[in-house]
Amino acid sequence: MNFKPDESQLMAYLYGELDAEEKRQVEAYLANHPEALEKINTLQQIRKGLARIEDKEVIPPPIVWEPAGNRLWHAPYFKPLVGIAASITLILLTAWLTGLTVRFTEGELRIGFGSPVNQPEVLTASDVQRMIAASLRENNLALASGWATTEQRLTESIRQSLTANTSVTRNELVRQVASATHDQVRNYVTALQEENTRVMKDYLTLTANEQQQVIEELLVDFSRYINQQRTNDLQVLQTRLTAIEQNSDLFKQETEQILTSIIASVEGVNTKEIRN
Amino acid sequence: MQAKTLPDIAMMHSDSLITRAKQNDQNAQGKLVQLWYKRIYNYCYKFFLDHDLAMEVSQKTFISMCRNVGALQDTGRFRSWLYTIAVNYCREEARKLKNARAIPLDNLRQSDEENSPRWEKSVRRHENPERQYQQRELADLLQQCLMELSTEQREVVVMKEYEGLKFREIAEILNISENTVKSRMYYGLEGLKRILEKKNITKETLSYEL
Repeated sequence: MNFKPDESQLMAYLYGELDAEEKRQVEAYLANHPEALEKINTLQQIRKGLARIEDKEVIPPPIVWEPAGNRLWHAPYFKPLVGIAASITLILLTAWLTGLTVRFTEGELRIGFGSPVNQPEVLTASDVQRMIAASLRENNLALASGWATTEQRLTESIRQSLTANTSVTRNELVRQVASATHDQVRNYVTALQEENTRVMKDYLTLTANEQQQVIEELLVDFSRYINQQRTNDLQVLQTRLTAIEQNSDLFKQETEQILTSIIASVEGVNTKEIRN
Repeated sequence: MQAKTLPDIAMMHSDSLITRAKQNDQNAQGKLVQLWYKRIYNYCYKFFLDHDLAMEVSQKTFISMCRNVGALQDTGRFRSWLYTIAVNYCREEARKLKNARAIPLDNLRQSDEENSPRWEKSVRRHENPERQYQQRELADLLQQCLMELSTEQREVVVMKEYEGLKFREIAEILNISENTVKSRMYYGLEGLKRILEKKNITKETLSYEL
């Protein structure tokens, strides 16, 4: 009794398509295996759910029977072929109407309308060279003539301006100078002299004042310095004197001590002698 | 799927209709279209969740059906044969969508569920508006969950759950083994379970006011 239904058998059972013997076996198995039963029940539930989708009502469209004779038109590729043929015919017709000519000669494709027109002659390399040379020559000539004229014009204008400048200004100046009178000159010179003296005087007075000031300052500084020096000397003297004084005092004391010691010793000797 | 309506019953007894359709009887072909259109449309709708695409694929399917029904050998296999055509057109359309550079504006707003224009579609006027709204809300959510499955799993789940096909038939339609179909179905349901959990749709929500 090791029967275990596989997926197919379960499905067949679920949809009631098992024969009696198999059905009995599956049912026996389900009775002993609650988890398999649970599974079947779940699937049953899903089936129930699916049953909720109902059929949609629809009206069948009328089917029209085509006449048998028109089969060619419905043959596959017939329509596109006819279409292509029609397009080509149309293109050819248009080309003929517009007088389109297409020629291909020696690697050259020509598309034109109407009768062909001859092309103008083609220039050769030497022609082009010649043309370039001629135009260059012309150009050079034109340039040279232009140069000559401009040069001439320039020199002319320079000369004119030179003559105008020199002669006119010099003559003018000379004439002015000559026209000035003797008195005028003298006046001018005296005025100049006066101004000079005035300037000199100012300068001198200014410098004199400054010199005086500087010398005064110098004197004051010097006297101050002298004073300072004197006081310093005096202080030095003072200190020296006090030092001497102290020295003499010390000396006096020392001599006194020596004297007293001598006296004492002398007295001792004397007393000894006396005792003796 | 139980036979509830008249067209459903008619569908069950459509053998003679198919036989006549095979003899190029346009009337019978038209009747077949009338009978099957809703099923094929709903399959396509659940596959794409898009009315226009579903309409387009359904129409292609039926045009193809009418052209080729004469070559059908076994009348009993009409159903799986028809679904095979639909599945192939759906895949073709899905491939085109995947390769298309332009994205429809509707898809851009898909994440924003509250504002999705899909809420506005498919109104049934005869129901209580509130109940109808809740029903539609949940149904739309579930359909979006379906859209999150892989194409292969979605095909199987939709065919099994909504088209009521047997595993054997699905295997025939998809040209794969029956076990593969069952396995896809199993993982499809498992995947749905995970998606529902992710969207916070619980057992209670599913069984609410059934």
